[in-house]
Amino acid sequence: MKESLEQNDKYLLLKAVQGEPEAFGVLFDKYSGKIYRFIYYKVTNKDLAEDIASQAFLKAWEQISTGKKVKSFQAWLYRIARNLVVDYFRTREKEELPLIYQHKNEAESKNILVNPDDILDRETLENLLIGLKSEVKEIIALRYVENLSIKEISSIVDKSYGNVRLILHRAIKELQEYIKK
Amino acid sequence: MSQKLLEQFNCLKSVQPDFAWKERTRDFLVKRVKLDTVAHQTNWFEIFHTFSIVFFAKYMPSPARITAIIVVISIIGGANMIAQAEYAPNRMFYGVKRAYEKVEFVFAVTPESEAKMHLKHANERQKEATKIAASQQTSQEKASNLKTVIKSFEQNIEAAKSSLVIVKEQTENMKNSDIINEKTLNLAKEISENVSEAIKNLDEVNNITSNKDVSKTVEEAQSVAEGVNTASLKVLIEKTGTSTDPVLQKQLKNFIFQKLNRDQETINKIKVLTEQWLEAEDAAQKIDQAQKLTKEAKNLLEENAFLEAMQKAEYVSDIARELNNKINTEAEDNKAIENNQGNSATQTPKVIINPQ
Repeated sequence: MKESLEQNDKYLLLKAVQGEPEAFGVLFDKYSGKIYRFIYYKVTNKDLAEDIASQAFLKAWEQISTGKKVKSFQAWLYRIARNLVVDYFRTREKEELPLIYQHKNEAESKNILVNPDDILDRETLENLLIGLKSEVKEIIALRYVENLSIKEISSIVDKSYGNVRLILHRAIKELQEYIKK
Repeated sequence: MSQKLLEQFNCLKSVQPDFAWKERTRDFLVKRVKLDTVAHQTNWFEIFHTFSIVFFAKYMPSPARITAIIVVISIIGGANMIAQAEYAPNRMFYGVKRAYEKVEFVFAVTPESEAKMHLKHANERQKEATKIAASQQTSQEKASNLKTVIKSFEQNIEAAKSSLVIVKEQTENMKNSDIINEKTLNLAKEISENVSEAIKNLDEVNNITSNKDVSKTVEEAQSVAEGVNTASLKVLIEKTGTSTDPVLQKQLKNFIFQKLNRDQETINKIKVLTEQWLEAEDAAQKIDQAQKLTKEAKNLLEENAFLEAMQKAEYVSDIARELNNKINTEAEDNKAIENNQGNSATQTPKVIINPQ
């Protein structure tokens, strides 16, 4: 389907830079849900995910406004979000910050067993996703929740196309542990 | 089964942030953009850029785009015949050649065929590297072109390895395991053959070129290639298992011998340099250890103890890599000292070693 101008990221960014702030608002509407979910499944806390998502958009605008050219706004925004999450975990470890954000317990996820023929509820699916290894979880979320292509994912997570395929293939194996025999 | 589960994750798309947060953040961002762009004056380039985006979005309806793509592919197909002769990234038809290679991937539908396609392209890249190294281009042009094609080679070879691992894991639990193991075995053999040849050819490129950056790129690519070779040899060893097929055993023996010989060459080159650069005793001990391990590995190969021979070969590679890194570090440190002292007369010996 032909992309309308309102969905064309390059056009929206250009318009925003030229002094049409609503254009950036449209970009925010388009990506806020995706970026929020991407961060949420990494940090497993709603408030924290919202905080980091806000920072990601702000950082993106700050760089665009100073003249940065981006080929793919989506991939670049995901990368910013990803780096912010890494910084958060790094700071938390280093400074032993109190856990003001409650994180979902990853260990609880390990005890789940499901039947894939059943239609699973959202909470079970979330717990399953959170229980996966970090590298696998992020790629699964991008592929199966956000429906991105392997090429798009590889540019976000900075891994080769082959590597991403391999991780996806291994994810299938890892999920076997959660399936009722 | 797992695939069914994966598909269910799509419903997590309904997870959304708070509406209040969305509104608040959107407001904030819009105000911020307004503030930052209040003094902005649109220039002619921005006008042209906006116009071109609008033009292509509005006046190129989808059927025409599809037709255009078909026409382009036909032209590429025809132009590809000319493009095949191109070998340098900065030449006119090189882009056509690479575009055609991307189209070829559309027809590689299994991991096995993908791996073979990646190998084919990796071979093409290393041939291009050899031609560029031998060409009459300026050294700056040559260096830039070489780095591009060698990086590309590295990506192709890594992708071939990933596909091999997928083929191996996919076939592990399937029925008709003999036929399927044969498939994995043949793929691993093809990868080992191609990679060994490529490492040798990249050595030639390194010998011709005198650019330090290019040497570094070549060494990195050779290191990646050797890693892929090791992975593929391990698959061969695993799949060969207790097979008594003498042809298979001979092939495997040859591959591991070639690897050991490359490591031996590396260690010999390092031996000469360590006399000048490193704490001689420490380096000499490691070199002796490497040479001893090489000999043991070759003896094990004679007894068809492939796994143990491969383990020893890997230790030798580790030692070679460690010594090579130390030599390169010392060479860089010494160069830095010489530069500081303003002594341009002393030449830093070129370190052309591939830690296998």
